[in-house]
Amino acid sequence: MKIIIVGSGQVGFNIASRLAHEGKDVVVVDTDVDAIANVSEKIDVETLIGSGSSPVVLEKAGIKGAEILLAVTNSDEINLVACLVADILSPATKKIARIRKGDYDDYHKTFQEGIPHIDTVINPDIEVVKAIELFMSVPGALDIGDFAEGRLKFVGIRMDKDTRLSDTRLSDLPNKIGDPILIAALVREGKMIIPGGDDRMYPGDLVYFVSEKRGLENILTAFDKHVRPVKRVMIVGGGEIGLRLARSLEEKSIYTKLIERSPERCAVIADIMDKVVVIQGDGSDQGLLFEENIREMDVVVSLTNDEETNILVSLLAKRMGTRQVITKLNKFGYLSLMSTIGLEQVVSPRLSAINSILQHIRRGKVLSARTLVDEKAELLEAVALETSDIVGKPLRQTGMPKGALVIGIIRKDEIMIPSGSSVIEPNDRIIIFARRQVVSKIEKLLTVKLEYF
Amino acid sequence: MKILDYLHKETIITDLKSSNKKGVLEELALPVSVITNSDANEVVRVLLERESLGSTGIGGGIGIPHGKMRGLKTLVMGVGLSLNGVDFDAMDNKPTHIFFLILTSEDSAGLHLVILARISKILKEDAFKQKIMTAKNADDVIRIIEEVDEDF
Repeated sequence: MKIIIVGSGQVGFNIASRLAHEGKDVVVVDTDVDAIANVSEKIDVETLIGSGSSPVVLEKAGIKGAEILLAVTNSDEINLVACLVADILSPATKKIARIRKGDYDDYHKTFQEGIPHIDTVINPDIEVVKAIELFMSVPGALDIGDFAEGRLKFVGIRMDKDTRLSDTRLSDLPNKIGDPILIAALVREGKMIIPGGDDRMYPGDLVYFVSEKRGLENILTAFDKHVRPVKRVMIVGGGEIGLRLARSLEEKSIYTKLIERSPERCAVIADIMDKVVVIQGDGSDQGLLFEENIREMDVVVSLTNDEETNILVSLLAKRMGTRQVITKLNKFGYLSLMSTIGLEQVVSPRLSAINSILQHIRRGKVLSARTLVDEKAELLEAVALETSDIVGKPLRQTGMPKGALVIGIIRKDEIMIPSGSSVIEPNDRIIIFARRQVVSKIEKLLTVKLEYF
Repeated sequence: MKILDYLHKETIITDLKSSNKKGVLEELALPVSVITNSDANEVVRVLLERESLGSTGIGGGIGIPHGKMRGLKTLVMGVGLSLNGVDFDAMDNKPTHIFFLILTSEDSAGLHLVILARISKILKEDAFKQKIMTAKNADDVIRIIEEVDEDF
């Protein structure tokens, strides 16, 4: 499979390196000589210096033989033009583009159906806002995935000291929690364990579990995490994501304050928003935060374009007594450090973009994919297709590799948390948790046989 | 019915040029789209979509790309040969040389499965594979298939 990636920023780089590992044929195109040098130094892919929006460059990159074009430069315009040129040169190539500006929101569908026929428009900002709102609904969660329209939840949570569940053997869980729960993985001291019934959960563990939505609140209570309604939110940073979040909170009638440094931007936001209180100022100024009653906020969300400011604001807010802080971070290098400094609810537009792209590159009918735990594992949501090895027999006989687990089956309106004897039927939607090393084996299980038309 | 009832001289290519999957599918799709009066890009897209669910490169140098196409009136087939071989994501990771393409309507009543089974069967014969690779033109291909083409 040949894939052309236009843009060698963090997203382009990360996807290129994954695909190269999986033995796919990748060409990375960028105008930035240094960025390209970095790519060819670190990963085994072809590189090309030039603009991905140029027909000459795309032709040279081999667009005619490419199955997928991925346009992920920092510029919406270049991404759009790259797709347009590809659409002319090689109409059957699948086009995936990152387009962030809100002005384009209403046109995603138009871009799909008409010229330039972009198969998938990815807007990580929309995903990030969704992730922030999920975090608000599940306090204490480090990671939340929503499946089957939110009826099935995948949650990563830190096990606190002295809770009802600490030191509990997993096989004893049903006695302590009435609602169905499946523990998919434990992360202890940076190592991921796929547990059996004899394993225990200890304080400090990061626990990944699945449950049905209706049982979630009880389960969280058992972990000593209490769901409280969010009534007051402070947003620091009024960029694209800040504005999107403010809009969404306003629609839900949640009292929202937004702090933005630039007076011009403040004017723009104040103009759009009805009830959101817009404050011009520096979000990392302790005096300002105090004045704006940060301690009375249920949630503080730091969304400026400066990573260090976001970390600082979140730490300040936490120290000043805010119940919940959510931090936006882009640099992958920082992500793994966050829990050590006590910031556990972190969103990353780049990680969101990677997740959205993964789904389209995985084999089989994959509906969504996301990477977890410092990229040690992936969560795949897929349709179990007729003739694939995963259907028609009890799960324990499907050849599911060690390190992978089917954690949910969705059959029409029914949701099941499966056991080894569950049988997947064709067209069930399934959710699989898998260590990164076995993802390609999972892909094989999901692929169809020759007879599939 | 026989394979040759659905395979046309115009849809046989004995000298495929591309070395990758998408290129070969485009070559194979073009004549098929002409005789069925459909959009070649749409045909390629259908075939690629099917490939993404699992490669039809079944190993042993054989690829049987196929798919269902809306608006198609009858089942059509194509044949392609590549001397140099194509990287077709085959199960044995080896190059693919012999291609049989099957395109069928969305409401096909199972004919496609019968044809697929027939093709898979004749392609199991090494003698047939060797013979078809010697074909210089479409007439040769038809003659070689004729020898093994039984009623089904």
